Amino acid sequence: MPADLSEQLIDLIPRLRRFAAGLSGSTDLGDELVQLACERLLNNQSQLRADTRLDSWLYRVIRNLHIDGIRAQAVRDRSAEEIRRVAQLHVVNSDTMDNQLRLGEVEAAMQRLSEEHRSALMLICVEGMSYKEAANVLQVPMGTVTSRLVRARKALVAELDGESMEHDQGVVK
Amino acid sequence: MNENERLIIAAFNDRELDASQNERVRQLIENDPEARRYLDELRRIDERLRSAFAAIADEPVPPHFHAMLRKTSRKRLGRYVAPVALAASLALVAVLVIRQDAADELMREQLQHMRLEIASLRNQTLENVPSGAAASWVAPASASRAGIARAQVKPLKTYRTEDNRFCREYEERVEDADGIEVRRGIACRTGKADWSDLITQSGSKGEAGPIDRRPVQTSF
Repeated sequence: MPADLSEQLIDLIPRLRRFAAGLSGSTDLGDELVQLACERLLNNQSQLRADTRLDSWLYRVIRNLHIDGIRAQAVRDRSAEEIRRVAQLHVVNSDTMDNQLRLGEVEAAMQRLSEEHRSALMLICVEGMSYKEAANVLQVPMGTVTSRLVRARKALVAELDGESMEHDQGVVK
Repeated sequence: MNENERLIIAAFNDRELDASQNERVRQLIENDPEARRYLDELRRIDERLRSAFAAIADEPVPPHFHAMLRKTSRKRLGRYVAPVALAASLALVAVLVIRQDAADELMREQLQHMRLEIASLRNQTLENVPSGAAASWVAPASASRAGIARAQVKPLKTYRTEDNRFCREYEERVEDADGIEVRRGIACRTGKADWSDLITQSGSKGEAGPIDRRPVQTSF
């Protein structure tokens, strides 16, 4: 591995960790995503084009891994549900509440948003990306990013304040 | 305020506009209290978001990232994509070629010892730790040759059976030189600090692993 690639990665890791923690709702899970993304990068160095932006590439891979993880979790939840049904187990306490308490208010609210809203907020409001850079990471047109961001902020305000940001009856689509 | 106004105020807030567009928004927020409120709300929410996630980016890079970057000269097998069958056959070959010398014997003993430590951690954690919290065990440095670095057990949910016994769903992570193995299971209480796996499922990092149906040691 070229030494400069390694150095570039080390410089990026704090931001990647923040992004991944925001997406996944936990530093541990986020770190696993970052580690997997870095490994994927290191194993595919030959496929990177000279004009590939390392940070955009990594953000994109982290997000895709996160989405894959959500799907796998859904499969696991379904199979766990099946086991409970067969074994006639009844939930006596839910971990949802104390998980939410362990997270900060904002992090917990973020976890209640859709993945699309969460990733748009993380990239633009937290990571400080431009709309164009975020569109590149999310692989959607810029217009989609701008309208998604308006909806995402509105959803986050609603989660945090328990009320809508809307002061009129206009429907944001 | 219509959607276009919201979009342009957001773009103003995000520094996406050119000078003339900026001017248009300035006039809008000056003349329209609702637009002003909207911009204030955007600023407030962005500030809360930024400060919520500020700390993690200021932390030093955790050591395992440095370790990962150091050892990438030797390419790793796609640990998370390699078919289980391949891993199993490699392990079998490895077992066949390993000579049964004293060093291996010692290593096996250490490994066995650590498996027992992890089993004890699992029992104690399921007995005492609330759902959502985790308990960890770190291998002593002297045992590092066997490869296991640390283990963590986190109860996820608690269930009650029809006959009022307790079962708990948990996640167990065992970290060794090759990475982190994540295992999920449901164990049922068979005595004080004594829990038997009803079912376990191994998967690494977000993959849905095959379900390993072990003999059910508790009857329902």
